[in-house]
This record gives sequence, structure tokens and C-alpha cells, in this order.
Amino acid sequence: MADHFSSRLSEYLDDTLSPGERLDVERHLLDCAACRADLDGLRRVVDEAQGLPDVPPSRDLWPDVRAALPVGARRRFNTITLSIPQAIAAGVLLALVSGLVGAMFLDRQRRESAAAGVARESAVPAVVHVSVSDANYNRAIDDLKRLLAEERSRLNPKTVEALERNLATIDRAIAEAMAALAQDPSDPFLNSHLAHQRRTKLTLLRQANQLARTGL
Amino acid sequence: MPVLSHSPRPAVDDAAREHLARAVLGDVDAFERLYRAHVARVHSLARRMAGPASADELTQDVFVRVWQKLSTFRGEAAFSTWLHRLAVNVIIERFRSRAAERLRFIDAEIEDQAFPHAVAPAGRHTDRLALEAALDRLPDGARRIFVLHDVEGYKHDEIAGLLGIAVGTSKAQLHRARMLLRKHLG
Repeated sequence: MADHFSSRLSEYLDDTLSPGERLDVERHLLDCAACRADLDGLRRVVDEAQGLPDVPPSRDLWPDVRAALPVGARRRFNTITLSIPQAIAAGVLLALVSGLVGAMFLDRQRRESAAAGVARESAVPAVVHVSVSDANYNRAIDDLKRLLAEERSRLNPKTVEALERNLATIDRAIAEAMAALAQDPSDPFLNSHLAHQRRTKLTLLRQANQLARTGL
Repeated sequence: MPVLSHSPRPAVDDAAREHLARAVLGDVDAFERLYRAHVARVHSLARRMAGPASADELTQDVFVRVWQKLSTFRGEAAFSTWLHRLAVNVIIERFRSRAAERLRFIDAEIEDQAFPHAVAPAGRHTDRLALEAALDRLPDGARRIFVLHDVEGYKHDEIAGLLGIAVGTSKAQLHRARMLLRKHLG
């Protein structure tokens, strides 16, 4: 057995030698039984190593792991756990509630105006603009929708279903707020309500994109 | 003959994805599911890289780091791949924190006399048990390179980068480790 060749047996086995070097080793192997035996032995070691099974620890380490997790984060979800669709549904619950509040406000406003027969302009403060401008908002929504469409197949179908249902709800709330603002553009509540709905929609689309990017 | 049917998302994957999504949001119960799904692989890696005495502590360190880094997982790789690379980094960081560890990789000569030459009994299961036992007896540097290359599938240039050694050192240590293990397995 030649040391020069013996030291190259691993590289020969891993197929990392140049063609010329490989040929030299193969010629040597024809004449050297010791190197052939070493090569067989090395191949067996590598085969065994690649087939080694993963074995769990002999004791449960989870209590130690859990105890070592940062305390603040550890308590965040200890009592309430939500599936993705549930989390999305919960995430837009405020939008639903505020949408209902907005509708009730509009209804009361219409009844009071009809009864009093007076214009409201003199009773409200100056125009309050929504916090998200139309141009920026529409551009952001379009971008997020386009990105989501590209990654949509990576989302769980149940998540997509919940997302679409909640987006539809928010869109209805936005449409109602905009219709009301068309009648009363200076109303601070309606402006605030519309801004809130738009932010909710942006947040929801951003979360959906995040989920799609991570393939969840 | 069974007919293959295309199922884009097996139920088990849906569950794993949901656990991951919930864990990212801070759900400890979901994180426990992830832990249980991956602990065998992480613990085996830690045991083979660092020896049985350190495996439990390293496994705990790895999962705490995973928890801390979950929000940075972007899905470019499979979660198991991401977790595994993080585990390797945590384990190697531990090695680096020890003084003169790098010198041991570069200069250590494998002590043949520290290695039993008894031939292990034949049989595939026995071979694997013997190989696991023999791994524990390899010198540290050679063992880590052998585990990273032959068990975990890393390439020499990756190993050299991870451990801060030359590619040639990685190749030489791997060959020495294999030869020692080959002697032990008979």
C-alpha cells in the first residue's frame, strides 16, 4: 500500500479528484489489494454514516426548553390559541364592529337630519382628512394584491377563504364609509372610520403576503 | 398496483405549516409541536458533533435560538433546512467559545491508541450502533468534520467556512476519521 494513494482514497470515493488523478488511483488500485480493501472499508463507513437514524433524547427536554424561552413571549398565547383562519377572522373583528358602529351612526344621523330639517354643516368642525391618502393607499393596495396573487398558491386554502371573506367585509365597510362621506365630507368620525378601515385592509394584505412568502 | 393521486398539500404539512405560523406569532404550544417534530434530528446532530455529555444542553440552546429567530424565517428554504443550519451554527459557536478550539482543528493529531481496535460484530444494526459509539471516541476536530460531511452532507468548502479552517485540513481530517472508523468497524 502506498501512502500517497491511500491518502487520496477518500477524495476518490467522494469523486473530487481531477480526471488524471482519478485515473492514477484506479491504476494503483488494480495492483494494490491493501488499498482496495481500504477503499471498501471507507465506502462502508460512508454508507453507514449516511444511513444513521436520528434518535430522540433519552429524557424529555421540552420543560427545560420552555423554561428558557423569553418570559414575555412565552405568555402571549398561553390561554388562547388560534388557527390562521381564526386569527385572520379575529384580526378583522374590530373592523366589523367599527363598520357596524359606522352604519348605526349614519342611520342615526339621517333620522336626526330628517326630523330637525336643518343643515349640519354649521355644527361640525372643519374637514378632517383621512390619514391614508387615496393615491398612496390605492398604490399600496394594488401592489399588495399583485404580490399576493403571485404567491397565492402557497397559502392554505382555508386561509385564502378566510382572507377573501374578511377582505369583502372590509371593502363593504369602506364603500359604506365613502358613500356617507360623499354626503358629509367634513364629518370627523366618518373620516376617521374610513382611515381605520383602510389601515385594517392594508394590515390584512400585508399579513397575508407575509404568510404566503413563508409558505405557511 | 396502487394508483398515485396528486395531493398538493398532505394534511400533515398543513398542520406543520399552521404550527409554524402560530409559533411565529408567539404561540408556545405550537412551538412545542415544532420542537417535538425536530428534536430527534437536532439532538442527534448535537450528540454526534459534541458528544453525549453536551447534547441535552446544546439541544436546549438550539431551540431557544430558534424561538428567538423564528420571525426571521422567510421561507426561502424548507423550515427543517433553516432549523438545521441554525442548529449547526449554534453548536459551532459553542466550540468557538472555547479557547484554542481552532488550534485543535488545525494541529490535532488523531491518537490511534485512544481508539479501540476491536472488530465490531457483523450486522447492519450493529454496525450503526458501533459507528455511533466509535464517533464518540474520535478526536473532536475529526469527529465534527466527519459528521458535517458524511452524516449531514456538507461540502468541504462549507465546512471550512463554518469552522474557520482550510479546505485541505477538512479533507485530511475527514480521511483520518474515516480510516479510524474503518479500522473499528473491521
